[in-house]
Amino acid sequence: MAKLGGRVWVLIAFLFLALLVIDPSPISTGVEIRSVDSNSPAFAEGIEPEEKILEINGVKINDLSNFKIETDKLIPESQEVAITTSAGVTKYEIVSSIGFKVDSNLTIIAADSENPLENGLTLLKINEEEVNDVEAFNRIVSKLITKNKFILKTNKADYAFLTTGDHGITARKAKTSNIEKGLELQGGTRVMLKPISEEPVSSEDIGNIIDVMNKRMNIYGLADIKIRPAKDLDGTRFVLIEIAGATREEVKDLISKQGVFEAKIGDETVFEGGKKDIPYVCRDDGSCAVIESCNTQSPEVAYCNFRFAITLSADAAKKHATITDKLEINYSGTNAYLSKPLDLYLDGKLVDTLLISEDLKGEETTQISISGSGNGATEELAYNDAVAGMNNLQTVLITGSLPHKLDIVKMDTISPMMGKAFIKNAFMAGFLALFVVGIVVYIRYRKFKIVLPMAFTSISEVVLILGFAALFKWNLDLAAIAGIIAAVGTGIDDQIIIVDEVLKQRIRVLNWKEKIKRAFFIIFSAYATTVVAMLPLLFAGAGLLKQFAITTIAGVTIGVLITRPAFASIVEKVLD
Amino acid sequence: MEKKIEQIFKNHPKKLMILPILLILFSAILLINQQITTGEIIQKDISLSGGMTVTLYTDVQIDKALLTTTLEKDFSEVLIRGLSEFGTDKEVGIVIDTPDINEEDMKKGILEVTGIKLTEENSSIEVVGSSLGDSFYKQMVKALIFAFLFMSLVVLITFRKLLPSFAVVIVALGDLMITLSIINILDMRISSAGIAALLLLIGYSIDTDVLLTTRLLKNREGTILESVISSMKTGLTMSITTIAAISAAYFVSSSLILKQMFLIIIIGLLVDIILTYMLNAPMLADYAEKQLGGKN
Repeated sequence: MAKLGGRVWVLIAFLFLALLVIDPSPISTGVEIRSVDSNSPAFAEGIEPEEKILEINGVKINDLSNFKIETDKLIPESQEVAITTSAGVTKYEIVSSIGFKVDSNLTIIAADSENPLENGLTLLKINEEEVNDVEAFNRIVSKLITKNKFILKTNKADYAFLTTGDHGITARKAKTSNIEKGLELQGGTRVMLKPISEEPVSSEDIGNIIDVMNKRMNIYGLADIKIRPAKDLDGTRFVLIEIAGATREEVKDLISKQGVFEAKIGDETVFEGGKKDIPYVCRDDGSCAVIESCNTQSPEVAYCNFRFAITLSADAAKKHATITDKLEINYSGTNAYLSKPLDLYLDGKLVDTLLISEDLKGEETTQISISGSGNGATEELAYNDAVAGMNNLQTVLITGSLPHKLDIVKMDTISPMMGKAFIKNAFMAGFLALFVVGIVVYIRYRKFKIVLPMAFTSISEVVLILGFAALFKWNLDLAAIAGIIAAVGTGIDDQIIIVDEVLKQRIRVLNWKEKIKRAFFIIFSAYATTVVAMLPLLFAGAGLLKQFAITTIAGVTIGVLITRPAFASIVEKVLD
Repeated sequence: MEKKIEQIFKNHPKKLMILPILLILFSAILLINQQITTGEIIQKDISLSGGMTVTLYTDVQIDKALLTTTLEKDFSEVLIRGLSEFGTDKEVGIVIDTPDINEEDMKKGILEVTGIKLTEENSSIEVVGSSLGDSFYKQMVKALIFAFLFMSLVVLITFRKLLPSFAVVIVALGDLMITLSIINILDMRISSAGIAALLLLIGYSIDTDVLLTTRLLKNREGTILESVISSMKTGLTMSITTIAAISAAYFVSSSLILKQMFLIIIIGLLVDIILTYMLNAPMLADYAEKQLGGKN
């Protein structure tokens, strides 16, 4: 066999590096965490998405079915409970939840739909144990429902916590390579947002928006989020968000709100959302963030109230004191309130009005209780609505508002089912295309010595582009795949030019160097035209086709610098 | 074959140019007519005009006519296409396009006709605001114009001769115009990805012209005619391999976006073969001969 030229070694070295970066592990075992529910013990433990699960309670986890079997073991066995209420004794089976909640008067609220208990009854006893207050209720329930120990070993750390089976972790098969799959390949939601503003939006504004969004998404516990700025040819700025594993409604809810929170007394603002005025917001703690007093007003209308505590900063507390000092005291019955209430506004809409008790007049109080309500057709729905409302309000209080209102200008949700089919389909199309090229090239030259290096070069180009994508953490989406096709397509063209320049019957006998030089003059000219054709796409259309342009440019650059010179060298060897 | 081509080139080089010139003129008329009658030079799809595309994946055969009439109660315009899997002719889903953005009515209508509830698993929903679609389109047209200018510049710098560079640009422009006309005749609605395909097409189209110009003017070996024939051999191999590969990918692909890109490239490359060898080649051959001053 002929000695390989230097250029071929360069290609082999790059191929090796690309494979190293891509790190394909098709037989990779194990599962990784896809998302962690924000209201879960796992979230409180600090478990994060993308951690690889190694063991659960001492058992090695190799695939998703292992994960399911082991986590199912955490679910307590079902047991019968006897609930005594104002209407008598009711018995039913429970698993991980008692199936209802109570408000501060021990009235049953938000009973599960399959629960035989009805809302509105007063709770007296659980299994012969008297329930005197909410605290007792919580104590008895937590004693009743056995929590299991969940010892989770991941590649990052070991965790141990108690759970009733509702641990909040969703898992997926561990990644089989370092290539980041884009929207079309794994499913998810892509949203394009445009700040609504009279004046031009600066890149700093966009940076602030992205900052707040990131915080909001983190508080909500959504996984797999990519938020990035985008700009089009006219200088209009956008925010692009890609999220895997969230519903369309959740995403819409979370980002379409500017979240300007203001607490006003009369026309004066006492405090606003965000760290400056509100250093602490109570969440996920039954003692200072609660849903209470659910009731059904008429058959189709139910309400639930929520309440949570916040801490005001010293400045905001001072403001509160100055403003309330000027107010008068009104007496209504045995209670005394200040003449003006505290009005809470979210995005200009009145959320709630809180009466201020007289003892707060002129006080620099730092503890404030925020309340609101949720409604729905049934108490269960009202309860859920109140939880969502409380979550939302807590989120904007913590993150502060967005500098601009945002308009959803584009929103795509791709089914994950389609993603899997798409990958399979892309591979099939790729191989078929390569096969067809092989046939055409064979018909023309009748030499496997040419067909095989061509196939090798084309496959190398795909591998190198993928390596590049893995290195720079590009999202491999539909546009990127189109770019790979474009780059490999020009690759085949260039290889034909090389072969023909070499094979041409010459009047003057040129040496190899001269022949290759001539071929590469054409190749570089063609390269330059392709690159400049793609350049405008980098900026046009708010970057939605940027990936196509980048992949094409990167692909043809890799081609002219690495793979096509190596091909020329191989052809030189096999045809000489 | 080669002899025949040689003879045509030798005897009536100018006659060859009649067909491509007529094609370009005819497509110009068609495009102007399209612009006058519809106000747009092409038919834009949802991604460029704004609206909603809903893809539903299901094994259940859906009565598309019934679904169309049902949805038309709530939507001004509804276009439903079937999605089929390669190899089997089985329908695996439907794609619904409409310019009106109303997810609720869409979900209701589909549930009413098919009994299928749209979920994140069984469907994809793409929504583009009309103002974004509009600005998108304008941007893509700008990108196309810029790409064209940049390329003309690169060609001019490469060959440093006005007429041959001009010929390359004319061929690329003609390719673009004829391809757009054919797309219009096929009643295709172009997406933003389709415009990206047009950009790519310009790149591909120029490759064969660069090859021809280089072999004829820069590194000529043998007679002008021999050079034309040799670059034709290479160029046709290039075009045919690309057309064959992209056609194979077109038939296998399940993505409608990729399918449109592929189809545009296939049409454009076929047009490019005509323009490169029947318009650019005779023009260049004539130019090369004049340069030689009858020496050959």
